[in-house]
Amino acid sequence: MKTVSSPNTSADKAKAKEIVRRMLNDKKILNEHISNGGKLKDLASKGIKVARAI
Amino acid sequence: MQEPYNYTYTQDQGYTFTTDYSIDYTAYFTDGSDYFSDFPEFKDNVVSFGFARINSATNNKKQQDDRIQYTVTSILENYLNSDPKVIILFICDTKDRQHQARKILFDKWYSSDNNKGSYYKIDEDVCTEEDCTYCSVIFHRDNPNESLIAQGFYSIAQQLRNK
Repeated sequence: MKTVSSPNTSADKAKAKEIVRRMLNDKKILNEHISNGGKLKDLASKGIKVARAI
Repeated sequence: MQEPYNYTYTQDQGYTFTTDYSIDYTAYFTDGSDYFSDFPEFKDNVVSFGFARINSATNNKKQQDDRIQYTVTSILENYLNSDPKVIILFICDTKDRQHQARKILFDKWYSSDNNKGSYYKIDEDVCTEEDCTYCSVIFHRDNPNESLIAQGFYSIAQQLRNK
């Protein structure tokens, strides 16, 4: 029996994988930066923005 | 209950504190809006939480220190209470294969927090072919986008489960 996938299912899955990949990559960059004594304000050059302080 | 450590904020290192065992820690928040770009209603309120040791104690013996838990939860609650629209994303770091241990630790901290009734916490195991990452979001019960946040968070994990 032929099954029909929902429209854009593989595209949505690819997008979700990309989001998770970015999350993990950002985490890796942060960990390396912090463990090397890097300053948070220098993260912008690595594509990561620090959130506002309270 | 023990008191949290005093912490200070600097632009260089975020929220830092020093324990009774002379270990320095930093807690910090980074912009998480990119991860929820499909949800303009709340994406700009998403921050990703990080927590790391900055230095090591002079001896290498691991010390049980419950005050760290209270300090981290104090930082998180103050951040959440600063704006009811804030959404804090936790990604359990996989770099040293200790992500499951980190998830258990953060779950324990949350479940023992006296104020957890003020917040929603949603957990998801997000798995690709290569690895599983444990993610959670915490947000205030007064957040006006409560159901949309849950939808957005679940949708990422659900899409990865789709064949």
